[in-house]
Amino acid sequence: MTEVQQYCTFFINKIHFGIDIKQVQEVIWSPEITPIPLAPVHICGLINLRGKIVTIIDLQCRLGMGQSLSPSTSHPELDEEFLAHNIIVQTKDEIAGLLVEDIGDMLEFTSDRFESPPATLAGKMRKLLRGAYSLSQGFLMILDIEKVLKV
Amino acid sequence: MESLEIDDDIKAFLDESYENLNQIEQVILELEGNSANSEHLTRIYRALHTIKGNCGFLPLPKLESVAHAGENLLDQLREQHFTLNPQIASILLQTVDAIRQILAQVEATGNEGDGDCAALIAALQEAGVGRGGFGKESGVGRGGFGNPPVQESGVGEESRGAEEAERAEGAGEQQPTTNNRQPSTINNQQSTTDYQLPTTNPSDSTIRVNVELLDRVMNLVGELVLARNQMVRFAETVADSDLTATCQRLNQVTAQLQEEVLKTRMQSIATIWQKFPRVVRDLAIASGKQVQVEMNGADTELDRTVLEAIKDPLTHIVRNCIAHGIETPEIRSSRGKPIQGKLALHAWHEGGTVKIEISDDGNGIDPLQLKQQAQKLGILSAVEAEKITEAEAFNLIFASGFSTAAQVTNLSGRGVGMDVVKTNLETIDGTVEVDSQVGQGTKFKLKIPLTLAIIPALVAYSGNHRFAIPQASIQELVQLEKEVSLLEIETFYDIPIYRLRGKLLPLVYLNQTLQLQVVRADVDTINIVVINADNYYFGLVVDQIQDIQDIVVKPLGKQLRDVSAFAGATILGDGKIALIIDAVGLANCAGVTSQLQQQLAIATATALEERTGDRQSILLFHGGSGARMGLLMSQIFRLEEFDPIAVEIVADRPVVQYRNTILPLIYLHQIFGNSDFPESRTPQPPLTRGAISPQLSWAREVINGQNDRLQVIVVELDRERSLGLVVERILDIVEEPLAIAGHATRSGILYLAAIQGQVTEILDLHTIVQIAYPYLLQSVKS
Repeated sequence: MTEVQQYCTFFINKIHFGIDIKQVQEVIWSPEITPIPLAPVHICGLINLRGKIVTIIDLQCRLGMGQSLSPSTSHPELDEEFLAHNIIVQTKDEIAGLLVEDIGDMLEFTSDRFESPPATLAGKMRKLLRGAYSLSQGFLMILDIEKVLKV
Repeated sequence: MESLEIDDDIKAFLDESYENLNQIEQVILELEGNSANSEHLTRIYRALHTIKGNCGFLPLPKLESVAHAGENLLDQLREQHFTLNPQIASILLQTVDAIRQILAQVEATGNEGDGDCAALIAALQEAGVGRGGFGKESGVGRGGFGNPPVQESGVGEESRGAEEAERAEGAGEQQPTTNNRQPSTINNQQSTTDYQLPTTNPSDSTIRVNVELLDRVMNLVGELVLARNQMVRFAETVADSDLTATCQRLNQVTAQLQEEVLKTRMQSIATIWQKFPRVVRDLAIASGKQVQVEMNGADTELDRTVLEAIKDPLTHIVRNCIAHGIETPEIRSSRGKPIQGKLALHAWHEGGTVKIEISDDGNGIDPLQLKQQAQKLGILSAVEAEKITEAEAFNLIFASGFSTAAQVTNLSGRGVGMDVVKTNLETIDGTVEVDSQVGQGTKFKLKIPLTLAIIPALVAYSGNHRFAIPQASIQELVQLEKEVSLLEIETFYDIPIYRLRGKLLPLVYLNQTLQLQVVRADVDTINIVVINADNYYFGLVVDQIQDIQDIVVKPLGKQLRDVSAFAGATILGDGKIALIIDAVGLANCAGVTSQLQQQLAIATATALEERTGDRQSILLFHGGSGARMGLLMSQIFRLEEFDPIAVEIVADRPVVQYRNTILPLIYLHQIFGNSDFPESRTPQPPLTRGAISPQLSWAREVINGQNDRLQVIVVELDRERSLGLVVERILDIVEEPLAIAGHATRSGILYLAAIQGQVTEILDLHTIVQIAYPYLLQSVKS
């Protein structure tokens, strides 16, 4: 039977990514991020989400796609002009934010169109990618949130 | 009869007993008519057993005997697997009622009342014994049945005095006349009276609450505290007297609410302690010792999260006391001590913390032996061992991988040492100290915070970053005028030191340690927060100090587990986040590490002129560019040679495969900044030979077989982790007294020594590892 899957999509470096919408709690504008000294480079910092302290992960950096999006990791003084999106995701035991460049549409696919990542894919991406759907233009890469958060 | 004072314990006992009785009753009713379900029987047996066990601690002999008789009957029922017939069911129900009435009596008057239960007990016994012949049983049973209501009336109706009860005892059969109830309708009548009884049941005044719910309430109170902080801050900026007054009220109510909620989460330490007599008994038997446990202050209360956190450390210390402290009866008697060893646990509140002392009257710890062992393990050098005080020597038992046990027994030596106890306590901001007298015993002193969730903390600025420093780790605050600071802050080696009342206080600049890329504001004053990390003091230099306020500790996400400098985060009054500093973690990041290592460094420095008579085996080698260096043989596991081709690069670091493990390599010439090695070999001085002890001759081959292979000194960080120091050339092994000849001139060197008339740099392994593989050191610690 073919099930319909819904994905929250976003862009990093113009590449189209998606995550299971069931794991997305909300999408917010980047509020003030408190940097964490000595933290791993892919951690942007912490935000206060209505009284909850949420760790923000720089997804670009986490995926090994080059330099960080967030100025906070390179310059602790946060650039006031900088605005990115945070996708607040929730797994069974934690809540975290993913810093992304731009938010795309919510997309629906039937599960039979799902394709495994190519065997030749290398690097961090290979470990964190669940698979992909082909779009009319390019692919939508589906991330495994549990693995992205597991550091 | 002596009256019991109805205190919390009695109340708790009553609550629990009523609850158990209700359960028993329900199960009996369910069981009646059905064949005996052993699971159900076990349940009521246990419930009754609990009541009996509990009243064993209280002066309630009558209750105990009734419960005991009931328990016996149930036990027989369980073993014989026969049907719970109505007679037995009712006799059990009567027992329930009798117990309930005694409880009501206890609750009302503080004693068991004058009623007598002998007949009921006899009935219970007969029901058990007479079960073989059924007809006979019913006959006996009926005789038995007649009595209980009499007893109940004696118990329940206070107006009837002891005389009547005595008569009841003497002539049971007559008594039904004094009671309105007919024996044949016992069950019904009783059930009506039953339901009237619990009107004054203490269970109305207490309820059991799910711990999760309590945690959620606590969390919400935390949020409220934060909102209060925000509100108070806001009110300060608005000059409105109404708002100010409202805020004050809000402030008070929140503080009270916080206090009350904290109280609801308090549990007495007895919840852990009550398990110890059993643990001690088992351990004592296993190790052939006799141990008596003595416990004081079991009602000392702690927040449940703290309690949970100290459970394992306490158990470990208790095990340690029995395994290593208390001697066998033979040794004890030969030393003129009582055969039975004593283990004492003592807890009390002091200054907002809980102190716990665990002491034994056993062997004690010999500081000399500890020092020797530490030298053997390479934790201390002879010079250092000379210098440290007794208290510092005792602290050695908390060093990672340290054990004085000659052999691994099933009581100790399972790889979990006192270091784990210490780190576990540190995670909740607790401390542990040891005091011991050889032959007299050992005492562990613990200091534990009452609660973890909401703590007072100092808010400090470094640049525009704000941090919360828990008050528990702050010793004092020192403020220096800038001009004064220039004079008073000295440099000791490379580290800045402030003389605080004559004591050297190493300074840690928060912005440097945390690598905050901020320009320090040109301030007129220097703020030093004197921090006590694990009994070691250092001064944390911050730019600005705000007030101390209550903060709500929120844990950091899993991704930040390895950032040891922070214990969590909190939301401040303005809604922004501040990281909470972990004193010990920060000290580690800053390289001041543990108390011991720092004191050793100072001990080494002050011992410059000292010579010790001890001859030490020292390995001499060229670290790079011909620099002559030395390392104590006690710190060395093996000397090896590797083919350079065998070196692989993992994560930019060289490693080799060695004895089924991966051995990380440290090229000393890189540490000491000579990148030209090994391309240009420096001229090698002739090999000097000192006295090589025969047992060290295994190393000769390596020394003699100098070639183009990599010369590697394998050192052990702990039992599982080793690493290899790649040196230019291994020179020799000498046995000489190690004399300190001068200060180290660079990082990674402990001091200079004159060996065979030549200046030799003695390596500081710890620092070298820290430079090359800081992560490895962290993982060893954790």
